[in-house]
Amino acid sequence: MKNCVHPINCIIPPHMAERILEKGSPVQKKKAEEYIRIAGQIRGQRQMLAELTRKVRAAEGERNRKVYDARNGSSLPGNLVRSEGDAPTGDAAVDEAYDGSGATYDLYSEIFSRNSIDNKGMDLLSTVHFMEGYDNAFWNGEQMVYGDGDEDMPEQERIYNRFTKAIDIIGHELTHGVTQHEANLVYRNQPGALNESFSDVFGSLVKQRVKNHTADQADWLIGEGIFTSNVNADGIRSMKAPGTAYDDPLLGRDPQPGHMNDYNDTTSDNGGVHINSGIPNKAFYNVAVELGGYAWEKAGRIWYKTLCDELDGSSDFQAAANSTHKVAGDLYGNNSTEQRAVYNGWKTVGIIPGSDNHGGCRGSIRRILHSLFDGSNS
Amino acid sequence: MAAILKEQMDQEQFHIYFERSGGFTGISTSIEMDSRELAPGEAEELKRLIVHSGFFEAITFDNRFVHMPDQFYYNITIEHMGKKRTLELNDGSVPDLFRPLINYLVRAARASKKKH
Repeated sequence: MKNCVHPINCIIPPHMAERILEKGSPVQKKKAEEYIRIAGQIRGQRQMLAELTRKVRAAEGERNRKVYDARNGSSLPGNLVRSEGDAPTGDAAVDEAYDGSGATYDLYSEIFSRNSIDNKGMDLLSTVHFMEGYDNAFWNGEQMVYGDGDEDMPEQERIYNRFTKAIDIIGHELTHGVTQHEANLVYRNQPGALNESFSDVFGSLVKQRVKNHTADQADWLIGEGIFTSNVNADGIRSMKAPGTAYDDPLLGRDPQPGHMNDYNDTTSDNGGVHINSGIPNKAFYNVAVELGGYAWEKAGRIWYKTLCDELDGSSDFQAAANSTHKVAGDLYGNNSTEQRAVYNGWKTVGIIPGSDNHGGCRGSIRRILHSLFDGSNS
Repeated sequence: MAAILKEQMDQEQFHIYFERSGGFTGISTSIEMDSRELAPGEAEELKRLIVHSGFFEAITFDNRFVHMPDQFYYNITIEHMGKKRTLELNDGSVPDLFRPLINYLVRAARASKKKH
């Protein structure tokens, strides 16, 4: 106790000091910082200081990125190789994961005033070099995970490059986290395809913002650069022209529809979540191009507000159309240019906002069949 | 004697159907393999991986992550010594012991696609 410089410092419990750091006045914050520093010295708990400092930074809206290396194993998160503020490592996958998660954080923070994935300053955790020959990237509910493609195959037979190579994939995976904390769309059938589509939309916006592209300058490709030159592919998906991203003897043909008439009723891939996402993807593209300018400014804002405030876990395409139309009216006025663009964007893919027709007769039949045999609402 | 040998050989035979779906790309890949059509060394290696995985043993899988976005889904059916079992797994539930078998089957599926 002899090290105690102020009687109050000695009796403040850590959680209270933390609270003062987050919410207190500048003078109170300074005193709380002093307490934590001294308490840390006394108890030898440097980690406590670091953790509390991190929480304060998160509350104040600062990025905190951590990139781990799985060293081709499957244990997560792996070994920490780059933290916030560290210099580039020279490992392309590590540095791409770091930069890409930063660009995604910036889009959400600077454009949509969102404080990280959970809107509470969550750390951005990425693991690269996951397993061997792992041609995939995914969000596991807590972090992003990236494989190196099919690097275990002879070079002339490789199809995929590392999955951090496309910045929109990083934005896509982080957006799964945002969706989890907002609408929490069920990862199956139409809600699942919407979940995928929101990830493609904001992943593409991350890329467009980094490249400073307007809607008409953007390529609207998802996963550009992921495929090697051994296959005939521009990317994994095209938001501009679903179904045209690849056509190759090894890969087959891009199966994405761009209209409800071509909706794919399938049970595989959780009810075609990566296939039917082409329909809402195309709707967003239509809206963004009709409005012109930077897609994140108006179309992105409408979609973001819809994801956060209007949709729930069971929302389907019709609900997304209705909600984006409503939000466009709320933000820009009824019958505004923006609301008309949203209406036209969905109509072009076969969904009329406000009509509640769920994609016409085919949609109605599909819903009845699903409710009979699948137990879902989509 | 010949009949007994044949019966033993038949018991060593196995048939596999493997499909991987989902993933970020949504592009599925599959392969069907029969031990009688494999080179002896290849069949032995595959049999070793099946035994290593404990495929036919009572294993419980962690299915909490069944709807984890963009993960792979694996459907594996193996017929061996009169037994047949189908397992549906995903990246969140695959036990580490299964990884070598799945990696082998993924590589075989890729190579098979290349041939055709």
